Amino acid sequence: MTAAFPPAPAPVPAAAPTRTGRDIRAVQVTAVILCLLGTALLALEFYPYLVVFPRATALAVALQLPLLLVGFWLLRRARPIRSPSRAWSAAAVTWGATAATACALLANQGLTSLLGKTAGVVFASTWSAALSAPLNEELLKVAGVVLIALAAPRAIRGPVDGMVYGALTGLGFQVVENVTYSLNNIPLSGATDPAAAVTISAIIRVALTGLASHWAMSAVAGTGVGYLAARGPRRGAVPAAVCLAGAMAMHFVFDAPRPPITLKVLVDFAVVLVVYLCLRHGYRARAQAVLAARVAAGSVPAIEAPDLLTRGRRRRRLRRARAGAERADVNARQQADIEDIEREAADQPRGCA
Amino acid sequence: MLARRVGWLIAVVGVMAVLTAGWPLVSRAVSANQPSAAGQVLTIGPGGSDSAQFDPGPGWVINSAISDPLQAWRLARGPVNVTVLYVTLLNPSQAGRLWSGLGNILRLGDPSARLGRPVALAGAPAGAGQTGPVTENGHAGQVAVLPDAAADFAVEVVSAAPAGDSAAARATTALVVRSLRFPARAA
Repeated sequence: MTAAFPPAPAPVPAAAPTRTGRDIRAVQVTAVILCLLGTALLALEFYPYLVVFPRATALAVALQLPLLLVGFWLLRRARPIRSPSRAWSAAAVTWGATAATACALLANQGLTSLLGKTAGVVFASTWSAALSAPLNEELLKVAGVVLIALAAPRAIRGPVDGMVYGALTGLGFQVVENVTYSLNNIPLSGATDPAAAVTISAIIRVALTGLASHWAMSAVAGTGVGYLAARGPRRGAVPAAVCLAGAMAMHFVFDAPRPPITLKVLVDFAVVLVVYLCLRHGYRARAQAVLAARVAAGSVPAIEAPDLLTRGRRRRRLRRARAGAERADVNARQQADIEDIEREAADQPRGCA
Repeated sequence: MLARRVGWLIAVVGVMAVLTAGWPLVSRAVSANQPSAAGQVLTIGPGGSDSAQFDPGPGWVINSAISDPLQAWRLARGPVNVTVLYVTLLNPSQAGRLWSGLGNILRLGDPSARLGRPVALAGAPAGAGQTGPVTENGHAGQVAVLPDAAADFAVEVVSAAPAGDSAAARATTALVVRSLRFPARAA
């Protein structure tokens, strides 16, 4: 353990683990209920499209599947050293696609109508997206990252984890939002060619704005949850607030009536790329330092050290081992070593992280 | 570590509840009715040559909660509700499908909505419009579709009222159609 982690807990009564388990279960059950409610709400909202435009609705969903699959693979792959848990990654996407999207639908409708009533329809038409979405959607998406940090403490240990889970939550949101925009484009084009309306919307939202949409904003917001998880509320609150404000600012820029959309996408992509590269550089440097210390202490064999911190080298090392007990032994050693290294490297004040 | 899990959980659910239920509740406390001024000309569309203007006449109330000058104006006067929609045509050749398309759009909001047989709109700005009756859930009225000269976009007018007031709804559609101006055509 390093200074970046809270002090080791004092001995606790035997009942404490039970309580922790109960609390984790409460978080998990709540998250599942919210996802189910979100799914029901979205189904209710878009059922008429399924009835009136069944083929176009199926097409709208199908056109987003490549984004979902490629995005899921890429974003998990973006985590240095090893990919995050597949199950929790799927949970993050599910949260973004159901609970966050459904709640955002209601929240945005409420705030947009309030703006129309109080500031006038012209103002609301111009600014409601830029004012409602950053506030509502960023909070609702990042709520999913917080729930994962609560339900699976080992999943989010630092800013890198928070960023990856945030991006996955944003990906789920982005995919479902793309479907809803595609469907909404049917009446906006007079329902004269539903398939074309859906396809055009999907192309724009995947090929053009997809480069730096919800996944990018939520990645930045999720980074803050990582800081919170690593440093605790007292030391993590400020960086978490900065990350959330940054994500909201990115979203505001994205939805503002100016500048042109290509420039907005580039700005947001540049922001998330810089944050990612800084975090990645710091994380890898810390992991290298921890590994070097372990080699020096003799807890990791020097001959295995060069293979530990990259996926490809670990795989090659495994292939060199004889199939069976030896390979299983190497694999178990690799996983245990990486687990230890990642725990210590999660968040330290080195590099630009 | 986020040690106080239940506290954090309550905070997360609380924030979600405030956003999801709070904004709609606050919005409901504010009236959406915004009286339109006499002679007020309403513009619909993104502006310039890709927009249209109309004058609904006096006594109308604009529903400011769901009106958007880019896409739809929703107004009411007594029992009559009128919606003026802006639709972008993906291809000029699709102007001929506007009528059936509008029927499907109305069915999204009300499965019982049905359009009657369309007839050419006499006196339409471009002479290419269509009009016909609409019925939906005990209401009846008149709709009209009017593509602009280049068939880049169209304006659709839907007026409906309880069956006993359908004559007023039909008159409303006629009134709005007569007042419609497509700036690009005037140039």
